[in-house]
Amino acid sequence: MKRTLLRRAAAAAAGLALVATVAAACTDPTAGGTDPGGEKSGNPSAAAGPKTVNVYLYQKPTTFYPAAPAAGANQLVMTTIFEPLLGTNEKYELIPKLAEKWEISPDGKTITFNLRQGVVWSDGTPFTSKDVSFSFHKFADAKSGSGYALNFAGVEGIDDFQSGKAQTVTGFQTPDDNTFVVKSTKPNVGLVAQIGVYLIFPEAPLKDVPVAGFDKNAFWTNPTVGTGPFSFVTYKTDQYVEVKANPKYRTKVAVDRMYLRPVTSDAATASLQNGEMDLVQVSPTDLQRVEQMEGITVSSGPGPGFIRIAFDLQQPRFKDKRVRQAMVYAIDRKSMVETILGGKGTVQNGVFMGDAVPADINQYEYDPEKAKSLLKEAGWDPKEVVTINWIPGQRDRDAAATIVESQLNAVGMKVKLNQTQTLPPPPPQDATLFGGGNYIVEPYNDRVVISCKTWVPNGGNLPRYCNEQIDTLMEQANGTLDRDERMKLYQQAAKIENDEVSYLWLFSPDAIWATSSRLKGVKATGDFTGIFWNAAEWTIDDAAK
Amino acid sequence: MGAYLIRRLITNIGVLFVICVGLFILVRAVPGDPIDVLVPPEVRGSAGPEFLELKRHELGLDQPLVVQFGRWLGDAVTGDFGMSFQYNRSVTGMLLERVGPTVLLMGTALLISWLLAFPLGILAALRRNSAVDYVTAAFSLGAISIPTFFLGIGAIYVFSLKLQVLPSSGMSSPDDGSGLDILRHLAMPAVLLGLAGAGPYVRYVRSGLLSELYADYVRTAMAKGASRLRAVVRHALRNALIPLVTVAALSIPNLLGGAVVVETVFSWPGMGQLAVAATNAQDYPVITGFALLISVLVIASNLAADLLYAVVDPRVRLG
Repeated sequence: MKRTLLRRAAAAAAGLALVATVAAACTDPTAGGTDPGGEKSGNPSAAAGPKTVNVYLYQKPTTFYPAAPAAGANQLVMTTIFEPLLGTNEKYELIPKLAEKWEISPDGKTITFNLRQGVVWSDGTPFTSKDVSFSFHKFADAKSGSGYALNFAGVEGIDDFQSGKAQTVTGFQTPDDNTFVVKSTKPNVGLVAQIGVYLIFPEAPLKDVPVAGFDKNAFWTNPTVGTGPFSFVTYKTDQYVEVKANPKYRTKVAVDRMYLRPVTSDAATASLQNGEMDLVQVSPTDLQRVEQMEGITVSSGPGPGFIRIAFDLQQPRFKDKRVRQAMVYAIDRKSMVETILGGKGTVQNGVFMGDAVPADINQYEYDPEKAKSLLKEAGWDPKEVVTINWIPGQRDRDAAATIVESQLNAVGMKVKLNQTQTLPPPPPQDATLFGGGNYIVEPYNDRVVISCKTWVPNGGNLPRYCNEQIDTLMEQANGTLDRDERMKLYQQAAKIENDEVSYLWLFSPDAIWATSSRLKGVKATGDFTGIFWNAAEWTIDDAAK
Repeated sequence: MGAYLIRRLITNIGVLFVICVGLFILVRAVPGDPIDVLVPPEVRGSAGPEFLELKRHELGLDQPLVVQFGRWLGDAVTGDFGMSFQYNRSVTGMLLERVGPTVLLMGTALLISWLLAFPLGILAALRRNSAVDYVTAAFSLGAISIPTFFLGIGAIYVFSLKLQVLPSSGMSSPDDGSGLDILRHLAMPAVLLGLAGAGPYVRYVRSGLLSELYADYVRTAMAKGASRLRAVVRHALRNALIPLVTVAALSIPNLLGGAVVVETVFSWPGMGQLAVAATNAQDYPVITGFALLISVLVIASNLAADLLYAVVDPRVRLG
């Protein structure tokens, strides 16, 4: 009797094992499915196809809706399949993409984009100004799930459109198929860079989709129609996004196929060495190791944003600018760049970047003694405790947080670090350390983080900083057509902001890229979401291995 | 037996309900707001309050907690865990997508564990207190103690970077995907998990066998002329394996739950990785869906273990 029972148990166990194996076999995720484009993807016979490129993604993509709030991995994928009117090159200059040229009227209120002729969508439909208008109407409408609606402030008719009074924006005009015009109620030079870089999507497949839930349409998980150098093939969740050369692109794209793969950065660095990856964004911690690898080129560029701490300036104790200046003096930001970033970064002394920064701003060299005396002058109570919140998990920020804590404590300011999973609701409870942003292409973008009108939740001014004079200068600059004149005005604003310490600015990390020798033509940019800006010109030379 | 089963089922439904309430409250008790994940501070500047309100409404976060809970429970009963905040896809679909890769990885690892543990366990029992026994004890202790992320990164360094014989991450090469390719990707994570899992099994087999080896019936078998090997394998081992039924049944949730650390290190597209990513992003529906699935599995396999035990060991009477 016992024997049969045991046998039964053994059979049951064997059955379990069998079920597990069969289940695994049935759901073989790589059993080459047919992609929507109608061609087989993942062809085993073309093992490591000669013109295939593997690129590292530092996060998993979530959606491919260009107007959804920016997320790095989404942006990287989208820039291969969609194009903006204007791109930015590795020097952060605006360059023609879907628009061949653009001009601003003498009164600064009208921007005219002359579109490139003969562009077609990857499904063969001609690209026209109607596509641009369609896309911009969605970008300008929060109801579509757009995270950019506020950037259209000042465009003619935008208020009526956003409040639902009007169906369209009167300021978006399409005089003919190759011209798109944006009219504003007041001079707005900065608008060019602000909205010119938005990715344009096709009207035809999306025309009848209602605006509510527009961002949830199935097209955004499978965006098969674009004008970019590559066309979307498939996104195998957690594994890779596959794109292939777009035969309808205006020039011949030499890279046949790209796989964008979200893996851990350790694995990505290892994959460089054994040829699994051709292009990897490298963290400064791995820089030395990657530089020693054979056949790997390392290049970098200055980032467009920076790491900073926002203090709640509406708390009386932070109102005295000497307290804020003391904090900057107390922190050895130069050593931070050396130790945390391996020298690949710049100390930041204001929210302004590039040509908007005057030569004679205060550099706030590390000076703990000066910090102490400033705190004393300002009457800072050493018993006061300041909590700094940050989201842990990124090496540069984690290290910066601990250094800030110890160096502020050293000059007599009690700091407590608090890890959060998400940022505390605005205003920053005491202080919040965060990074990012894009301030280098267009200084007018800075107003979002420092203007009196953009306090959270109506904008990105987390510390609730306000200086009317800066606001006036920036508006004046934004209405000035002559670039040199404009930069002079921004420099005046930058000088004030540098003295007042709107944020505790720390540093701007470079983006570091490692490229395998078979992949040619990559031009490193400091914008870690912008590496594909010239991907249409990349070539592959397998002899270079 | 039938009455026992019904009683067990009723208590389990009660347990599940308590788990649901606990899960729902726990996940939402984590400080922070999923909206912050969707709209980081850098992009706050262009989104504005209207956008934030819209998203909150879409995700149902503007409803009172009780209403949110009722909705979620009502859907969960029908197997619908809602839509992921981050991906705007059905959570059920996302979980199903990962069953294959997870079972493949965990099943292979379990097999490796057993292949290692049985011979070692038997050997350790037969050569009790010998050098062999101590070495296996050291091995199982080490396998349990050394953190897998350390071993994982070490393995990537040795096999991918230095020797360049195995791929560093993923389940298949995008442009390949043959069985052999999957096997090469599977090798490192499965062996690591197999090693780590073998430790406890070695101890179970050893102690199970030791408790039977000196039993009367084994001595009787030997007295009747059976060889030592036959006495051990045919008689003692069969009874020694009875406790292992429980252990095996209880490892089923593990089989589907995936391995959080190893999957993350090797970017294996399984359940464990999904759970980590969802937790980081405060993706409530995915976290609760995943946790609920595992809870159901734990309860079910506990029940299965008890029933199986009664089947294989007639000394056990359920009632």
